[in-house]
Amino acid sequence: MKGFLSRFGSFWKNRYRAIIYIMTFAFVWLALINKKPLDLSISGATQGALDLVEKMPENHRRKIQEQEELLAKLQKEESQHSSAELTAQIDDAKAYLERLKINSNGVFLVCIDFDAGSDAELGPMAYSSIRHAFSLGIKVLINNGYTVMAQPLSQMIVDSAALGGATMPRPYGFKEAGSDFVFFGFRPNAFQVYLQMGESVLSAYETDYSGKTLADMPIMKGIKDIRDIDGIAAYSCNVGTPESWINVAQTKFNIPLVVGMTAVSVSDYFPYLQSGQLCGLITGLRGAAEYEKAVGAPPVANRRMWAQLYTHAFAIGLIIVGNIEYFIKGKRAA
Amino acid sequence: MGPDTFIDLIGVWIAALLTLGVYSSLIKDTFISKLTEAVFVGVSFGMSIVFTYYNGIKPKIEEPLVRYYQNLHVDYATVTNAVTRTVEKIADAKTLPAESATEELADEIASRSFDTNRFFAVLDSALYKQTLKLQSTNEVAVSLQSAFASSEINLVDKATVMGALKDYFQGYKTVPTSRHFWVLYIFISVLLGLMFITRFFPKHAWLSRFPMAYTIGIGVGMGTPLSFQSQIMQQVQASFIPMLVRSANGIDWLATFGNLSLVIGTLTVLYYFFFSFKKEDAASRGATKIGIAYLMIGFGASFAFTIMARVSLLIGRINFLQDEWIQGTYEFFKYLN
Repeated sequence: MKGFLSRFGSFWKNRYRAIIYIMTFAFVWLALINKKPLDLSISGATQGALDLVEKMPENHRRKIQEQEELLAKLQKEESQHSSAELTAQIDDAKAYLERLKINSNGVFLVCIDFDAGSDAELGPMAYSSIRHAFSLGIKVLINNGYTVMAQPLSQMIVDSAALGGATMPRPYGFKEAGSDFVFFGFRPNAFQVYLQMGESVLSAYETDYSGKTLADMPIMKGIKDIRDIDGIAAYSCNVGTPESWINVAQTKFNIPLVVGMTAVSVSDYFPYLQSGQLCGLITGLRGAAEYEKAVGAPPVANRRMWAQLYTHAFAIGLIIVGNIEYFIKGKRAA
Repeated sequence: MGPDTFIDLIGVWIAALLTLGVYSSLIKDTFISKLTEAVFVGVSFGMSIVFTYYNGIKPKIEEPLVRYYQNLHVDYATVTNAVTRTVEKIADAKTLPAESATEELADEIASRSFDTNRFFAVLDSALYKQTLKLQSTNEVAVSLQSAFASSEINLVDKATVMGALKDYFQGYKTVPTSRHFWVLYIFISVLLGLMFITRFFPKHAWLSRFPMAYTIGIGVGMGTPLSFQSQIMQQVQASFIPMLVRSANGIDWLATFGNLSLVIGTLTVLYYFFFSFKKEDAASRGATKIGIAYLMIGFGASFAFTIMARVSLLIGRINFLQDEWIQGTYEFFKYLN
């Protein structure tokens, strides 16, 4: 027995890295064969992200109602004492109200800012949230942040959500570019672009990703500036994009914001959730799986959660074995 | 999710072989792993340049400058004739207001008197677009029709409309004066951008400090007030929370514990990083230890999230190899047979 243990010890010492790699690969591969979705409870952070989209049509209608009341109040004031300033305010309010009525279920901006490296975690959450918005009749704007390589990936995600396919069935009809959604594409200097959107979306993006003029698109008749957007979701693999959106959308224009991050960066954003600056936070693959489950999207992230479960159990096992070895060695040394 | 066409299949195979090439570095650095790394960096960098050109330089600099040059040399009479014909057609067809407008709105617009200033503003917005090619009669017509369709101007009285159009042509230039200043601004911007390249020439490298200073200045100027508001003011505000949380049934012990923990954590961690004096007494040492414990819990959570993220990447790649490469290839050839 002693001889076996010592032989195993030297074998392990020489090849432990290769063994751990092979076992991790094997666990992931075995877990992915399991097609059954994992039963997950939905966390408060993900629920906040879901609520933003779920309640968007209702909030948009309330916005229209408030604007109508404001317009009636201004018109009443004008009938009592007319002034150039009041007339300008009325014109503004009228134009804003008309724009709100064009996209009657609300406008949702999805910022996709990740490349293929983070697609495993962020792809399913971006896909699920676009699909969620489409199923509620919400108009969707898609743009990119600082990551140049996000454009081709976003195009695939948007096409998949709008057109679907045999493996990705949709609970809604085909969605048409220019009427139901528009993909702006990548622009350099994301922070300046977001700031410019505060003044005019059409001056920040004159054309969509394929070069079609945005001003001619029906969806853009109802969008002048960032005020016409009811909610923003930023799915990002780098910290620059969510921070830019927190600064511009939340702090400057008070637009409800949701952030979806890779698990490695997500812990930096919990303080923003706790302070109420974010409505929701989708945390890595687990958050994506929760979102998928809640909206009934095809279980892409959810299937991967089995692999997360197995590899985490394996990692915990290794930590325990390592600690046992440490204590045994410590005792021997003593 | 598998390949649908033969080209897709080739793409999937290249992606799968490159994935395996990257993972081969786990065994040891080989020619294949080095090649894969080089391909990754090269493709990413090459595509970044192409995307930046097509999404930034081309629409923001090249196309507007080409249009500016073309519009500067366009035949004035051709443009005015095209505009007159289109406005005449619009007034004849009475296509206004927009097709989507309600009858109520149409009646309301018909009751309005003709607003010359608004008419001029609509013409300006249609004819002074940066991307409009004045040489193309069709483009001019489309731009005018689109602008008038959403303008809500009463154009029923054709004689008044055509009279106003003649007045408009009195002051009309194919390129407005403001556009000349805009071109100057573009040239300055391009020049600043090009100055960055002087870093490659040690003698003239000092020139790159100008665009650098400009970029940093703009970034700091725009970002600081917003960052201060979002990352300091609102975060500090969020830490002013009640130490005792009451609910309808009395004290909410869980929320109270959470709030207390947050306050103690914030204060002790801040105290740990306070190095202005020695922390020798028992209270200081205790507070420091609590601060360290909070930091360790924070680092532990971050580390756990890091493992989760790295494993997710591995899962994504193995998912691709299994579903798209092995299963996808099998199904592709099965479908062919």
